[in-house]
Amino acid sequence: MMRPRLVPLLSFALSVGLLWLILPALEPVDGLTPLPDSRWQALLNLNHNAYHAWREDNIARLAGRALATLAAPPVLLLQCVIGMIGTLLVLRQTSAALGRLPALLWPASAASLLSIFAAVGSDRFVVGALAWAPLLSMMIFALLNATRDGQAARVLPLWIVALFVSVQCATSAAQASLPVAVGAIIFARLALEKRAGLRPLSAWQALLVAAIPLLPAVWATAATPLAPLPDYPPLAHVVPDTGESLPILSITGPHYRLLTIDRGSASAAYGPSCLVLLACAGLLALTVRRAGRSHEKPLITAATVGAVLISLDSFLPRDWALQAPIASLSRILPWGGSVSFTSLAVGAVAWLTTVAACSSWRLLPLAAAPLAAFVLGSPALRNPELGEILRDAAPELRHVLLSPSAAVAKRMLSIDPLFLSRIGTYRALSKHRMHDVARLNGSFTLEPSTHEPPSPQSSRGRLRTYEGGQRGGELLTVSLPSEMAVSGIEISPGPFVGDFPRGLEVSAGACGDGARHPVVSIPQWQGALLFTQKGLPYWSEFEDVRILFPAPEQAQCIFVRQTGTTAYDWSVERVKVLKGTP
Amino acid sequence: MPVAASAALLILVLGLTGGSWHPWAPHIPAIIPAGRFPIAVGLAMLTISAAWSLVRHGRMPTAAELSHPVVWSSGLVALFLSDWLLRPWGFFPDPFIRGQLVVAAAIFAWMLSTRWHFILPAWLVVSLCALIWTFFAASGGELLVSDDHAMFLFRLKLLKENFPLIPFWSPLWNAGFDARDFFATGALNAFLIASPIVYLFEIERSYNAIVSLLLWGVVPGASYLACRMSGGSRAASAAAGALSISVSLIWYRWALKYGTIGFITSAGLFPLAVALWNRFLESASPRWRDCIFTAIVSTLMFLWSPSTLALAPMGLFGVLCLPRIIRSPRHIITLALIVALNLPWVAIMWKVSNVGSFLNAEGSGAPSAQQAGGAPEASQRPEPLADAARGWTQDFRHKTGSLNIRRAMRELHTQASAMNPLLLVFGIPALLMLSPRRRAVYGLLVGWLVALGTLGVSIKPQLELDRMGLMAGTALATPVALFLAGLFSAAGASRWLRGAAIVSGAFLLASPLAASSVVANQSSERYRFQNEEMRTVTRILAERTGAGRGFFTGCVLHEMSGGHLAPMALWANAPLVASSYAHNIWQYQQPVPKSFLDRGNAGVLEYLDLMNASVVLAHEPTWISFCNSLKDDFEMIHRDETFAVYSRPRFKPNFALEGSLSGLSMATNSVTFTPESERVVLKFRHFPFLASSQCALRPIQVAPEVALIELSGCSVGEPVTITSVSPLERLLSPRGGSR
Repeated sequence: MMRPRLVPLLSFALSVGLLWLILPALEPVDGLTPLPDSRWQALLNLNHNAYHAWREDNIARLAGRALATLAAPPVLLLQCVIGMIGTLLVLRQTSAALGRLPALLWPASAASLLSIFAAVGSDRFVVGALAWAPLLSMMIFALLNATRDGQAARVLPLWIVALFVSVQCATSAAQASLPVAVGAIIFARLALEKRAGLRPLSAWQALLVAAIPLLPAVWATAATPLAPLPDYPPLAHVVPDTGESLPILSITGPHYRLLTIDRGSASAAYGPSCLVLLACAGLLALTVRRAGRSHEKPLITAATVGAVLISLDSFLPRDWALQAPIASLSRILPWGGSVSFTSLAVGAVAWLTTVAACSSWRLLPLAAAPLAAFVLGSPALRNPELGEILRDAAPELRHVLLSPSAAVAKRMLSIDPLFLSRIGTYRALSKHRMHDVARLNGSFTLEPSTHEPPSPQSSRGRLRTYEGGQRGGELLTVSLPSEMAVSGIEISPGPFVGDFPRGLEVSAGACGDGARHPVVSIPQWQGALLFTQKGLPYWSEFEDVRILFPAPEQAQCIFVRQTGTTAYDWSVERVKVLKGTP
Repeated sequence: MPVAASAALLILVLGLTGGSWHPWAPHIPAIIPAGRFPIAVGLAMLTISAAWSLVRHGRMPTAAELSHPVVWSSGLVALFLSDWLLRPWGFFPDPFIRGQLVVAAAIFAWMLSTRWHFILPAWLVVSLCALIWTFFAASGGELLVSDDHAMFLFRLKLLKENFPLIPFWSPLWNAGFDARDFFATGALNAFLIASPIVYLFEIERSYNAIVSLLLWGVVPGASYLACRMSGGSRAASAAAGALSISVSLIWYRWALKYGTIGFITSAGLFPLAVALWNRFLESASPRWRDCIFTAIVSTLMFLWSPSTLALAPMGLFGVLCLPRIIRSPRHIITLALIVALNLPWVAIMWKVSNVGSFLNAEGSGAPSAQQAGGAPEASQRPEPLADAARGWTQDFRHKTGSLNIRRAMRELHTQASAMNPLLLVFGIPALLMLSPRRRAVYGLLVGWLVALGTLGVSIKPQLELDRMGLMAGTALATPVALFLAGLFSAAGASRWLRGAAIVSGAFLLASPLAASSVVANQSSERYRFQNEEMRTVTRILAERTGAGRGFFTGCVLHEMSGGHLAPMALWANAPLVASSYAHNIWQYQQPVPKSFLDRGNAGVLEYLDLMNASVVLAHEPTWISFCNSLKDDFEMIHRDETFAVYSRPRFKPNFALEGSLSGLSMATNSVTFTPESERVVLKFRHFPFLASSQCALRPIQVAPEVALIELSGCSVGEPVTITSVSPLERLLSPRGGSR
């Protein structure tokens, strides 16, 4: 028979072994580029395009070197072990059931950590931010208890250890340190502390305890640099947008520096995780309510509230999601424009839900979490489009794929699957001047449309869709004087900046009822594809309607069908074409 | 019915200030097409509720009935649900601000269940730190030079060297100018407050810190103290402080974009001055501490002279208290102290600044560098300068007007949209909840300021009285904070009150966040920091002017980093000439006078010689073409984003037009040189208050618009210093006035 002391040790070894087995199999969802003259690296999340400065915390890096021979991702493994220790302490505090089954405590802790991978993938930013958080919560909890009992002055070592943990947490979390510290305080206060019989805490005592996690967090927030943005011009954008908010922005000015987080991709990536977490949290809430277990309620309430918040962030339409709490908080907090607080929240809720589930359902999550991590967290299902390409990419493409322009590349790949191999051609074409169709003795028509003569707003006059707005199906026909090779087309709305086409399908061929063949289809217009000095693609303003063809087309007529819907007209003041082949 | 009276007033306020109302977003069709409809409804409801009260109780509705907090806070809900929050010039610049308000409501609901008394002051401290941090982060280590900030920085540098001997003559700009706008612009109040920093540190290195100190130290500090003096708790005072830093988007326009630091300091001190004057007038024998404090704060405020207009209603209450005042030695001594502190600078300002002509001017009567240089007929102008014809007649602002209700209403709507909704919605109930005496004081003050800020704008636009609307906002911070604190304290009494408190608290918590968006340059009010072009041009001026001047052609206002040119003369250590180095012209104006322009290229070149211009800067296409066309006279040495810089290879710089001199050196307030002839005509403009240390000094008219300094009877080889006479002499002497 096994000695009782060996059981936890064996359990710990098995849990670490499980992590050791699973973690190397998970493809990272991010890529790193060293920043010159700095210990920081620019981290780009391939799922949602977050782009920010990042570095491993010192302890993890040092220990990681020692572990490097033992495990493939040593720093990640070490962070998971730290997270496991904190989670174990939390589980001992919150779960009476697991308290009676110490052999399950370590596996349950490992499962909680693995659930983070299941929810957000192998995300160094999220794991780094959450690794020390459970331990920090327990430290705050211990300090609160000591202070309430009037023992604050007598537990000096505890203060020192708590400060050390807090500094480590802040260093590891970097830009996320402030929300993590606040989250740790809230968790300690609401989920760990038992309400009944608490001695009151004076305001100054509360402030003193709060200072332990908050001061290092504020320091880390201030000390973390911004990842330098490439040389995009002021009106560039790299994440897809609808362009509908342009009229407001043109009046009030740009609200944020260049946004890098692709919210659409984030919603798509985290949608399934959010759904699963919401379902789990709901089931947990029901189970606990039926069983009447009051001691687990705070944990499950926190998990449920968290699941609702991340669901609001992921499932609501864009304009509403931006007013949901997580997006609002990310706008309030520093770095909110470049760091994905959504992924952090999804990871935290996954951890919370699994901790709560382990307390209530014991064995089920222990089996489910590693499986989910392996399946959901693997690139096979998560399918970050750029991950595979990045692995074999040439240096000039890695340069693009590890920059905020990755979102542009991702979108362009859906339009032209050979975009990355043709990127040089696109870059060359984007610099070419186009030729006015009128000067080439060509013409253009827009159906349905009405002609507006020259006016103070439009000195050339314009064609505009007369039915008011764009409903899909409007057709611009550009007739060239003779058949020629065309590599692009520019359709200028003139000064009417809101009157650009929302979606486009371009075809080319003979005029009249002759054969036409599709050239390019752009479901949501983003602006002209341009390149920075260093060759990074970006989109210019939406009204800059310049379409580059994937390949030159021999055509006498070009047909541009508008496929989107909006209340704004489609105005065409001038049409140009890019003649010849590059 | 008590609720109806409050609702009627609320509808009236929203109708008066809101215009048309759209639900949720501006693109959704309006549910209230014009402000007159809610005004009519409000008036009708007010009449009915008053009649009902008269019939039922035999009295008019009481102040408590008219200021029901739940009803008034529903005004905030109305703003939340309407397009108000998305209006282009609104205080909340984020189109998704509703999300932050919801988060703030959740946080405030938690705060109400715990120690909100303790958390609110902490929130103020955190907000101030965050604002200062945001400001420095937005600056990226660059110097704030937006609009008048550059000028204010210049004034600080001049004051550091010359205070208290102001006004004085300075040779740094436009061949000499009368440095006297310290009085009119209120620069002295900020200078005095920031003087420890000014004297201890280099101004360029500390200027951003000085601005932060004033905006997020002095202003909230004054409101905090004002609220404490008005009987507010620490939490209420913290709310007042938070409101004072988030009065309006227009506040930050004047503070950060326009850089009117004198006004901002004065407006920030205004609530404290009101509280002090209240205490001073109410008390039969005020404490000495209060007396001295009143005198100092009032003086600092009055240093931006229009603030005396703002505080005028207090004079009315002073008259009512006159019997008590004349019996109290402390009152009399304090008033005498205020007069003694203010009379000298007021007298000098009146004498040297042409205040009377400014008040009666068609536009701004502020003097400019090139006083008589009007716009010549296009046909008289040399090619290619004739192309500038369109610019000559361009007005910038400040056309005189008459009482115009429509314009006043438009001004009211603009100011109300930009104002913090808490001040707008709770302004009236907060005033009603004050004690009757305070209600009268604050009511009269706020009413007076609103009238000045709306009606006054159309009558005297040159006074820029729209700023009085902001002063009304700062004055309201104290009563509104007291009202909010009362509401938060009463939140436990009912679910409705708790809801009202949460809604109000959410707006209160979100206000500094909205301010931080503005400070982070993420609003429609963008402000500017020094850019590379300004540094480069300054460096070139320092290197290339030699013994001459730098000459800015065309009309320059904000072309350099969005600020005025003023400090460049100090940074380049070179005298400069421009149509205006500060914002003291209100029409397009050339630096070259008409009589020279009329003579074509030769006239322009002659004027450049007369101004001893060794380096010429051009930013207008006309002037760039002009310089490019005369290749022998101008050699382009640098081309930047806005400015092209030319040297004059054929010109040998010399500050003596006639006679000769050597070793000329300039300080901020004097010129020193050694004459090498008995008579010297200097290329410096003559002012009647100039004095020479050894020669006879008189004007010599070299052109209809240009009078230079002629020195005669000089001892050859003996250094001469030209400086202005002392301020006292200027005050007493008939020649002391400005030209």
